[in-house]
Amino acid sequence: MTDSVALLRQTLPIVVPRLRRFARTLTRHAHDADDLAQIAIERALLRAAQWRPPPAGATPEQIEGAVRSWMFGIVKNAWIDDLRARKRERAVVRGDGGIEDVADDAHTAAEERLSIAAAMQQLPDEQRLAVSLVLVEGLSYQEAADIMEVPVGTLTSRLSRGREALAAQLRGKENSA
Amino acid sequence: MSTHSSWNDTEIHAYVDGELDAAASERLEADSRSNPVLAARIAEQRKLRTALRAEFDRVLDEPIPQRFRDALAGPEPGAAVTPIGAARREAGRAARAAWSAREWTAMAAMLAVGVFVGILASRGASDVPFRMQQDRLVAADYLDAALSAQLAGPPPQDAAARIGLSFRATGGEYCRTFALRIGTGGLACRREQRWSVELLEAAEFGTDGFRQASSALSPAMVSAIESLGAGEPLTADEERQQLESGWDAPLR
Repeated sequence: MTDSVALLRQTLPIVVPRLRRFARTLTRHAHDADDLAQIAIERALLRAAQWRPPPAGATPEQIEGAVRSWMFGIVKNAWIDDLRARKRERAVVRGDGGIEDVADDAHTAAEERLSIAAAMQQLPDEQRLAVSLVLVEGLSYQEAADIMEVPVGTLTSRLSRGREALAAQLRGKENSA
Repeated sequence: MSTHSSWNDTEIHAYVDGELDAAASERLEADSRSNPVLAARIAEQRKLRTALRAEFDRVLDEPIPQRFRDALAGPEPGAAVTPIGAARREAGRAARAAWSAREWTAMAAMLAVGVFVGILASRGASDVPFRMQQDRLVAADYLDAALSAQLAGPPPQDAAARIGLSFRATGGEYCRTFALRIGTGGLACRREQRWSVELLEAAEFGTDGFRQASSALSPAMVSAIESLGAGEPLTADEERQQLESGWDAPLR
């Protein structure tokens, strides 16, 4: 085992709570989130040799940050794989590839208005990802854009639309309460 | 630089996110003191951040489920999650333990193969999913077909085989994990136009593709995959490409 793999392995346990929180923002159900976080850990261990540690002399915080960013990327990819697989399944079940669950969304929109978690779930996937990385995980725009593999401008525009939609939900909640 | 009293959403968001430069931040703060609309917009965005954190920070206080300790222990059976200092000291020892675990796995797999193929053959099963070719075990019949033509994930209804993960080994060859309805699972790699079986083990035939496919990897399986130097599992698109082109490693 090389030094970098050993370093990764000993840092991973520290970032698990953050991985779980990040995954929780992405999925509707907590157990799906834990599945996602767990799969990310398994994938990370399978490809541990590919992790590039920060230069020698990095502080423990910098090492933790590097592991966290790498892991967030793996969680994101696993999440996207899963979204695609689910879309494929739905297409197979219904025998088409088109219409999303319109009826389902219309049904849940009214009753879920009260919770911020539910409001998050109603955001388009890429907006939810941007909101999660910046507003929940507290990453910089640059870090978040790197993980999403998009330019900073794309990140900020998705973030903007997502957070305004959420803010509107919060306003609606206050007005109706 | 001109001071502007009308700030756009992007600037307000950047300010709340700590991404606005210091000079602009100061001007915005000054403006917000005399502009209640601006102040309200800032407050709303701050409140959103707080509400999101309050909602999701709860996860941080939950105890870590056992499944994560198991996953972190990963390919090294018995390697527990330990505090950093101890982990560092243990690293060398754990590597040696992993090596012997891998050898054990290989040996156990070889023994199992002989017994397993023997049993199937003596039962006179007509659709035996393995056969020996020279001294190697290769996939046959429906397993061969599934490895070549089935996407990873939930299998077609009544399928006898489910494919878990697909990945590319450092040698360039493609490998796939599988589970069979008869209670066996394993790992096969495409070599010389055959699916060479690298590992066989008892396995549940799950119907929930996503969850079963990768979270249920046994330590032996993780160890076997790791020894192949696997990278990121193939995406569905990459898989589809291989289904069409036959899974043979590109010539190098």
